Amino acid sequence: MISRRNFVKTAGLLSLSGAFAPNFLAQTVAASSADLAQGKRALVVVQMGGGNDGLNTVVPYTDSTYYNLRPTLAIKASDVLQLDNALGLNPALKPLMDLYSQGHLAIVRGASYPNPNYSHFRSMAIWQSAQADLSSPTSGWLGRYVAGQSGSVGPANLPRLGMAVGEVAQGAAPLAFTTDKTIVLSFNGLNNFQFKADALQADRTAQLEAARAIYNTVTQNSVAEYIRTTALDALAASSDFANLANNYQPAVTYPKTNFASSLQTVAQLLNADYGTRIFYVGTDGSYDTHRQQAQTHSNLLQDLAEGLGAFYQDLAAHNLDDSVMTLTFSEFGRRVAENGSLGTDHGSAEPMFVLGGKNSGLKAGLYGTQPSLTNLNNGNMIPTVDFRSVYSTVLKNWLGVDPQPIIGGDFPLLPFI
Amino acid sequence: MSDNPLSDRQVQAAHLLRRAGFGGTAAEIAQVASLSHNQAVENLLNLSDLGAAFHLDPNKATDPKQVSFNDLGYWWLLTMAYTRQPLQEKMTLFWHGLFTSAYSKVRVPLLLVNQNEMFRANALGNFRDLVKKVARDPAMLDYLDGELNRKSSPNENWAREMMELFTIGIGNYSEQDVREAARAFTGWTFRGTEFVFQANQHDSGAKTFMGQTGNFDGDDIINIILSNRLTAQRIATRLWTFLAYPNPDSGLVGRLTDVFFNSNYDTKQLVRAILTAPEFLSMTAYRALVKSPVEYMVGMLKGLGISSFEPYLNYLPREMGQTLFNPPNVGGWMGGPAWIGSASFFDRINSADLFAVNRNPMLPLAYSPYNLLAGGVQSATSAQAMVDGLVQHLLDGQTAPQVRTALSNYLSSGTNPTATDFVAAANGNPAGRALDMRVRGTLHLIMSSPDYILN
Repeated sequence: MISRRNFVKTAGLLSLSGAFAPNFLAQTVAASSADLAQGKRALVVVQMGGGNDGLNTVVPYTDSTYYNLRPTLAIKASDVLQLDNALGLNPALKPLMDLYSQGHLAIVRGASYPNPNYSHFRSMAIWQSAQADLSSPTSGWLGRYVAGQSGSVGPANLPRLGMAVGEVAQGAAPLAFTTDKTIVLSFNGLNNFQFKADALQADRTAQLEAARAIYNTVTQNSVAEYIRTTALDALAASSDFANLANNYQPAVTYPKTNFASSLQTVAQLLNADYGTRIFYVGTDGSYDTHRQQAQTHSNLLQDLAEGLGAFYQDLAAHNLDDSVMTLTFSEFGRRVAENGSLGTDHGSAEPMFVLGGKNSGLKAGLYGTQPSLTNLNNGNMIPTVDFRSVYSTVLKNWLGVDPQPIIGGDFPLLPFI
Repeated sequence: MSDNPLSDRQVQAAHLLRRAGFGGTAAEIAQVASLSHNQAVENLLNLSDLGAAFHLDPNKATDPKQVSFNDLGYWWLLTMAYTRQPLQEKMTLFWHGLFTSAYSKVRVPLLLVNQNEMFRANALGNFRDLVKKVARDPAMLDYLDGELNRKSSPNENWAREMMELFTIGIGNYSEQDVREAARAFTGWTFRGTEFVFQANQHDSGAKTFMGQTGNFDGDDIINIILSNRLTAQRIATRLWTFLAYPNPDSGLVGRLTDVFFNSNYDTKQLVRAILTAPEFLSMTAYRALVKSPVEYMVGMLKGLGISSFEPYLNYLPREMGQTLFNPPNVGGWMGGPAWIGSASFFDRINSADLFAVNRNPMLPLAYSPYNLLAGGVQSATSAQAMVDGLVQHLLDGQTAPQVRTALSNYLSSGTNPTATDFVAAANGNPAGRALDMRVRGTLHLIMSSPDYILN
């Protein structure tokens, strides 16, 4: 959800920065993926686009205000999956409840930022950039992390460090991954991820050689530079993927959703030790439930939980559960009171899920404070946790880097890792 | 810096047809080049050809229940490719990308057809009228939940997105304005395919909106928003970015905003001002945009001279990231470099491959590469000459020497083809088959180049 303007600004810097000057193809597998992956940790960020109704996700099932303000949409106390004596998960989240009971899930309550914005696009840009004070952020928190790894993996290997997978990979990588120094990969399945030359399959090699010569021709046009460097990275990744020794077999049957299929791709690439540290995946559908929310939201949560549940089981079966942490977010929560269309309008504060293995260091449990439903700001909850504290905790205690330069401030860490 | 390619009349014509339409065939480019630029713009602005309307399948259009979602995209792509009024389709696409409604939520294809026809009928019409029509459009009322916006407990979806995305833009209204505007539109709903005002669901009380107080209804809200010059500025900037280049300087934005605002939002005057601005033919404008997937696909059809295609090809723009009648979210398509990622790059160049290879004259996508040469097949006296002819037609003759070399090295592949060889290839002679396929491979490479992907 980057804006065109931001992107063009960013792309405009490419030709100046020189970061793309090297021909990645020359070093296709220069640093072996094992160098990158051995003993290292991966992060999977899950974007729930549209604004998830946090109150019907982590339900304050003993709070009478919740039932008063949600006469048709409230989840019945008898239906929730109890986390403690005040909060329970939506019943559609059964697979997450299982992971919680097994000690693999932390829940951070009331996450947002000061003066929450109720525009999908502005708020999404804030979450992806972690720069709540900039009106037009041009870089993302994950992009800044990736760019900071240049010294340890070499600039030529930066594109593979991050990857957008699935529907979020439809075009350019999301703002979360953007900086003026990095273009990460986007990947939407192996089927079409290769240079096809049907005119004369026999001379595909010759066509590919010509294509590389074309993409190696430096131009004066910053957008052309962006296209050709993306092309070179894509061609390099495509030949890498074709060469990956891959014995991966999923240990579970993933649900038939694009989201789950993206997670399966992530598991496959992790299993193949390709070297990607940061994955970015989006859920299917939209959480923007302005009308007739109940069934839609339940389906969305079910897809989320079943996808994450299958992913976790698969990682565990491949002994990857302790080296992968998964973090979910949405751009905002929803209004406390339901509207007259059996739905909810844009609101603030939402729970975030963090998923990790038994020995990953993740400490299951509830973090942050559940926002009050009586002390509201214009009908909206007052957030209790800055999401940048969650990001900082992950950067510091999972990825092992100093969060300050990436997040641009000191945000108190939370003890979930 | 090299000289501005847009000082050449032929290049101007090709550029104008790419921007005000979806690219030109060789004949169309030649026709436009024979006129002055301003005369060519006037011709494009003239939408009097009623025979050039939306390409509805007559058999299905009489029975709307037969219309499928896939039909919609196919019909529109056909219209874009073969219309006599390309600017009308380009503006219809602009309005579709601005006033988004998506099949993912609006599950009735006929409502989306009607909305599309409304955009087409108002392609160069008055923007104020258009916003008011959109506010009453059943597909929009469905998409942004206006149909359920009732006075007891308003639904804010339309009110917010209309201000943030369709008109004045973020930062120019308050959360209170969102709530008050939502009240003003209560009771605006639809039945079947018709707008209905439900008086008993309308909140006729006083609202305070953008500093004014009154018993406003939806039209009053729209008038207040449009009385602010920032609305004219935002739409003018967006349209300039769509047709010319991103980040126009403030002087240019000021001129365009004056034209739009002072004409009471006359879109035709704004488009004329854009297409005839000196900046439209400046170096900055040349190849400043990235072809959207539909521009890329329709541009290839026209550029190669493919005269028909079948409904199944509808999947191509979708795969490249643009499904007509189904934008990804209420913000529409981001456009620009955001079209290109490593996955969508392959989707793009593989669709170019699909078009490039079609040599069987019995099949719909067939075309002859040799017809694309301004000098005819006899001008292809060598691999270099063939490449020069194709580059002239598809890249305005504008590409780096290294690119020409890479193309002719591939085309030659050590065989140094002569005029006789190209004639054999053009005639379908079995002996010319391998060369013909490399000619088509050359076209695939040209259409995969950054120079071609740019618009």
